[in-house]
Amino acid sequence: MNFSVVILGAPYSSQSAATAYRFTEALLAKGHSVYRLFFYHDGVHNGSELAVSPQDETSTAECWHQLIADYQLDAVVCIASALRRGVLNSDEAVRYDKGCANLRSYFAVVGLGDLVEAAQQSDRLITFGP
Amino acid sequence: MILHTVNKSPFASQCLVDCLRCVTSGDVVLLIEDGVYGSTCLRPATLTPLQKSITELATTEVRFCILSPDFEARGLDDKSLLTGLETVDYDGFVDLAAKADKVISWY
Amino acid sequence: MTSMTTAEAEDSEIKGSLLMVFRHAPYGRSLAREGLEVALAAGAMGVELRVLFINDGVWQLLAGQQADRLSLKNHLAMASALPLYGVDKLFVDTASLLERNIEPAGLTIPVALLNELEVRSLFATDGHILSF
Repeated sequence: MNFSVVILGAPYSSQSAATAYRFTEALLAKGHSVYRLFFYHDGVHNGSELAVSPQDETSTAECWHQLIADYQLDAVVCIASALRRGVLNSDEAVRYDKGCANLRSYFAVVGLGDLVEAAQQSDRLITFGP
Repeated sequence: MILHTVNKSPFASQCLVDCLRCVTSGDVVLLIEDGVYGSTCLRPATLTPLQKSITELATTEVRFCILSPDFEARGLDDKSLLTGLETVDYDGFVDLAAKADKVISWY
Repeated sequence: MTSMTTAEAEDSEIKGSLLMVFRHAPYGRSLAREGLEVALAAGAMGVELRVLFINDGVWQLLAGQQADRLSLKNHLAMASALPLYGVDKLFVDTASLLERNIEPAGLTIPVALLNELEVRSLFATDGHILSF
């Protein structure tokens, strides 16, 4: 069964992103697949390269990055949400004349159409609210 | 069957009440994160109206589950669980979502 | 186009439609705004979409919003664009209106008023649910 997961919470601020991560990890371990991870609203912060956690704490953003890399998941941040919150890939950083980009590798920047399309293509759509 | 997830404490938010107004017979309500505070009652003799309706629904037409890591992390105890509520882990959460026709999250 | 079995055809029909449930008030947080943007995108893509305003989401429909006082875009004006994007299946939970002392007759967007039973059947209608 394929799932799409909508992540609306920023890492650390609420438990939401961590719950979404653990849910995704569990569904993959059970042999289900992920059609798309859609990071929206404050969830786009999960795609930031620049967050640093203390060494003795688990970093949800780090966990996501590892999981996405391991399973080659389709992980996307909504461009409108991301731009407003300062999460930019290198193309956007150049376009808006910003000094640096901070979107992590394996994450793509997409429009809302990709959320709608994920809803149409997935057996299950689950949202983790902030 | 619809899986309803609720992630806010009923002592702070209307989410659980709002959810219960929309559940239908056969649905499953899963309390996650601060939502697990909705599952406990330290003094069974003095149930709040919300706790009473959860107990009633749980023993009749709606299945209530609590995400166990969230429950245990908060220092809650099985002994204080309202009657009829079950605990599930993340595997159980995935199974519930897979079994449901769809999922709605109340946050 | 590849041929589909009956089961696949039914399945894609279920996946094809979408119910959006708006439960948050505008302005205080961006959830209402970002939810509305999803609805507009889905409408533009021609997706079979139903929108339900319920709980604090009914505040989104209140007339007389002066968003310019906050230098924000007017939420009601954005919501009014839904039918222009082909999203005309708009529903409101009547109980949520009454609880908040909002007069149904004062709503400026064409919405269908639903009672509790009708809200439950809307949830049971085909398609995934996205709540904001």
